[in-house]
Amino acid sequence: MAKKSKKPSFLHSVGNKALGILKKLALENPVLVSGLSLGPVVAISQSLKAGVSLSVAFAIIIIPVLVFFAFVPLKFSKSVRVILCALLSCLFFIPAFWFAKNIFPEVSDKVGVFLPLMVVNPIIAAHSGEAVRTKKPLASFIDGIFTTVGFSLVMCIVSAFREILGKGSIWDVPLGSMQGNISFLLPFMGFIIVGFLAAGVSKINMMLGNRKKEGDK
Amino acid sequence: MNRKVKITKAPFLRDSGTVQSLMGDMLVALAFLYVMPVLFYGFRIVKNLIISLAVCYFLDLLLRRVRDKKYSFDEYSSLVTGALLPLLFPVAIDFWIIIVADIFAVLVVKHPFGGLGNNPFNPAAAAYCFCAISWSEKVFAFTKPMQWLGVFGSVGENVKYAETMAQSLQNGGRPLADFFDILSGNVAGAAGATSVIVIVAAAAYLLYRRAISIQISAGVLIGAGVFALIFPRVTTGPLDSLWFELVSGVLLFGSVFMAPEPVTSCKHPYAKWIYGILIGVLTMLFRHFGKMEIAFPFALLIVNSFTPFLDKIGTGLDKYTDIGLPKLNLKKQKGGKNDG
Repeated sequence: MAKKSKKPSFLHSVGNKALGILKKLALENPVLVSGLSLGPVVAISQSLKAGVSLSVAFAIIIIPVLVFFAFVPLKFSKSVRVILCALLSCLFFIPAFWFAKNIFPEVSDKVGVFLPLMVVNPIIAAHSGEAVRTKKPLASFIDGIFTTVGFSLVMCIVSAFREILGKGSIWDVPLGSMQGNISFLLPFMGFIIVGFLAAGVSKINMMLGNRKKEGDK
Repeated sequence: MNRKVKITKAPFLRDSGTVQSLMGDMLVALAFLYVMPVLFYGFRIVKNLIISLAVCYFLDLLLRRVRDKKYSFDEYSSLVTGALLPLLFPVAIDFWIIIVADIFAVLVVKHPFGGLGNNPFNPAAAAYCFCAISWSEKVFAFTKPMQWLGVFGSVGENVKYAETMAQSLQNGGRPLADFFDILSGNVAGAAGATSVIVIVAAAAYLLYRRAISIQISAGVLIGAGVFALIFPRVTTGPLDSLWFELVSGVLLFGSVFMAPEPVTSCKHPYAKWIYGILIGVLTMLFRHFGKMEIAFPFALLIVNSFTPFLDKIGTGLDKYTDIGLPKLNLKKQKGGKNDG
């Protein structure tokens, strides 16, 4: 007689789902795995405030754009969709700009051209194609949330790290008598930090891939 | 004509050379350069050398282990970086800056790109640039020679500092150093880059041992020299400009020990000339328009990024000259000398 398979407990299934979400954020991260949107992450992430400001602006732009694209017919060619994506992003840039100017006024000047460049962010363009194919507004909305969280995670980790080591402060609050090192505020250090984070994620992906292959055997 | 060629990684060596013998030659040449700083400043430079060698060597071993690469205790490439770095800094530099430079060179510049034979940038130059940007007031604080500096701890406040030839040129003046002082290294400057006669002797040794190629070293000096003749910073004449520009900073030292580094430099003979000349010209441009008195490592890093492109240009130039490389039948063979 065949044994009945044990039903996973509630906690076990919640744990699995949480692990799945964490995996998606870390191991399918658009910045660390696909290398998209490196410009703002490398150039602007000099303080946590700048990181948070850009992350919120990104969320204000990407989520409505992805939800809208779930209603766009598939017959539109890719080039038309990209232009439409940029035009829509321009529209949603208006509230994003208002937010950045009013909530983080001291940072909006330092962010400079990278705030308006969010309009042509490659992550938004890449995901808009997915939204058209899936045709599900709720799925696109959730995709937008996860993409924003993934981008913001990298942005804020790199910004915090660079602010602590570059300025000796966090959120503009000095950390004791710690002296910063100016090199951490320069773009080359941003590349190095993102590179190491990407290498770590790649290593974890490889280990999980090997473990899965051994499990299948 | 069919010729079997072994496919290996850089450095590409002909004849009976091995990576060990190349690194050994470099270490011997670098050892010459430690003599004069000991005479001028005492044994502080020896302490810096020991710390630098130890940090580079053990960190390299550890990272090779972490990367699951095979390692042996007689792998000397990291020792060359360890021996180069203290010579680029002032003798009075704090030891922790040298440690940070070593860690940066091995952990950030060498291993993330695949270790020996794969790094696109010169580790010593990149580490020096990082320290120069981070702690410029310490990296460019040069003491007067013929002062016995304490071996351990900081050098103290009684030590006299002096303006280097590079600083004088940058301020629009003519360096006051005399010809024999410059030859012997009795001038303020980087620990290993002041004694012209020792650098030239080391270069002769390395050329005799075929550890470096003359095209690159000569190209650097020609590029910088011609620029100095056409656009002199010294008002006493073009020959003075040529002499002082070639012996100031770390240009001469870099043209012998850093630019011809076989992993990061060009491989094609024509490309080597272009590579050297570009480094020389870029160094001079940085000296004229940049803020830092030592410009060579920055120029070297920029030109390192063009190495594959320059090699393509060199290969393309073969079509227009009679002297070309023979057509080789490339058969992949197992094993290689440079498995790093």
